[in-house]
Amino acid sequence: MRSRRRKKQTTYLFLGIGVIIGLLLAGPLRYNGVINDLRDQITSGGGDTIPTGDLTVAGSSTLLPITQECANLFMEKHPFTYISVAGGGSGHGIKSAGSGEVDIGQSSRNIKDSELLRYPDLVIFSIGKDSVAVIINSDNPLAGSLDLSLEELGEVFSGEITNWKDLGGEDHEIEVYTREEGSGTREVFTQYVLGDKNYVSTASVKPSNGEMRASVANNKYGIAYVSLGYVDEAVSAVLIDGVEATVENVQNGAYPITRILWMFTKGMPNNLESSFILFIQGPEGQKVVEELGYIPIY
Amino acid sequence: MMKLESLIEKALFLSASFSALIVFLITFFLIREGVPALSLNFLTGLEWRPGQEFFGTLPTIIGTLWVVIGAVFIALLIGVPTAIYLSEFAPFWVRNIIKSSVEVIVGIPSVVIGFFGLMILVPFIRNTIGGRGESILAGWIVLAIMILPNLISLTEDSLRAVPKSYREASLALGATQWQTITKVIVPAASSGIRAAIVLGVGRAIGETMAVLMVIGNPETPWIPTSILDMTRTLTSTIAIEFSYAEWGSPHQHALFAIGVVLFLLVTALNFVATFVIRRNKN
Repeated sequence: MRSRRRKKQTTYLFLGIGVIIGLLLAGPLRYNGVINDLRDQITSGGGDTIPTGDLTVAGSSTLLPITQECANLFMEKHPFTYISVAGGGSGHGIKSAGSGEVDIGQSSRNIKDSELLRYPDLVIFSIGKDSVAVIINSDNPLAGSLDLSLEELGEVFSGEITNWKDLGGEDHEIEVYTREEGSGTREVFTQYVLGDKNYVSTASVKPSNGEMRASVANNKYGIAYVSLGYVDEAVSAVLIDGVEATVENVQNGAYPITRILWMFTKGMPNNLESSFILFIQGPEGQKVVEELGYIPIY
Repeated sequence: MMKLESLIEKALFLSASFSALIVFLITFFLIREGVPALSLNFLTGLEWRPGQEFFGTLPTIIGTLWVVIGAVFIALLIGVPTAIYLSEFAPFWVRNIIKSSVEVIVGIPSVVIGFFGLMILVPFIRNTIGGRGESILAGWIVLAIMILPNLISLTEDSLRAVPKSYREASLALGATQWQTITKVIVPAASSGIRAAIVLGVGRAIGETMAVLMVIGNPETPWIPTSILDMTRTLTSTIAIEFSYAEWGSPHQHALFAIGVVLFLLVTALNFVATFVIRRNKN
């Protein structure tokens, strides 16, 4: 009697699990169906279409603050959209947009020939400009007054100049931070500052702009380079040939390092993708770009 | 009814084989992607410059061993006496407090411990001992904190598992309590303690985030000569560089090869562990 009841219970248990799995499977399917119908209705209306659906963005940590802020504004404006933004780095952005893993990739360096060959159907958009600033700790006696040429910076980051004394500061080792191989910021900095030289082997590798800034903010003898948008009161930017790292100086060409910030889609962008990219390129998005300390495209 | 039972049995078999399948798939993928980059030069090379396609991992392997061995040693220095105190001396309420606070450590995510290391430990080492602060020493401390809970509870369990008759016999022979502990109880529990050490080493080798945040990860790692040197570990190299490595590039294969090395290290360790524990039992 008891064993029969137990068997009955087991049967009910399995039935229950079956029903739950069924519901779990059916839910999203039905939901997707509704959404698709809705989307079809809206897009077939022609003219101005309302963007709906989900969008994934990934790539450079330099563009991350811009995309994050723009995504929030965009979602507020278009309540039927959801945009998820992730980092991962420029290389990752190009790779995952090219392979279709995400809808939009972002990169803070130019796309390489090898990448274009691998992903020939990438469509490219510029959404802003940026520069790379060199930063030191605010408690460093040289803070605010350190003025170096691109060549001297190259010597510091390649380990030919190793003591702050040689730059007019305290007698202490210069503690260099750098980004990891493949980072867009690193690539641009290498191109403008280091040339063919190698980074000093004792440079500590930090995997994002934020960690570069935090490291220098915590280390009196540290020096690092970050995207212009990441320079704040916690650190002090180094002058290059007497020119301060500011948006105006980059715009008028006085500050020597500039780069373009890119977004990619695989093939021509669909309705949602193009609305989001146009939003960033438009006045609202460009205001965000400017407010965050980057440089608008026009 | 028979039908249902055999159905359930099959379902159970299916889920059991699923986990085995996952292990095989991961191993297969790891080896397929990593083997092209594996070579003698890969294991003995001193220079790691992915940009110029120099993939020497010897300093990283040695750095990993330094960090792991030191951390386990520190954890042992603190953990074994703690476990002895808990199992032999502590009154009930003290034991309760210590055990539950130790167990709280297990629940702290590694990134939080790493953050503590970066913001508190690293500046402390830089200001009091010297160097850059980001160092092997910082890695030791952070990892030791993470290994401690398991080490303490496993060691304590094995100390408690020593039969009461051993204790009583030793004391009856006129041994002091200290002699009883060092000569009878700890040796009798040694297989459990060794198992705890091996588990600790396994955890330490695989730990990524917390270590990554405090050991500095130099651009080109060198064979460390001081505990204040920065270094890289196998896991930190993979974690930092993987997202940026171009798909299918030699750099990416090299990172997979590091994964293979890590895999082999941990597997070898497991073999050693089973061997040590089994030999002790015989």
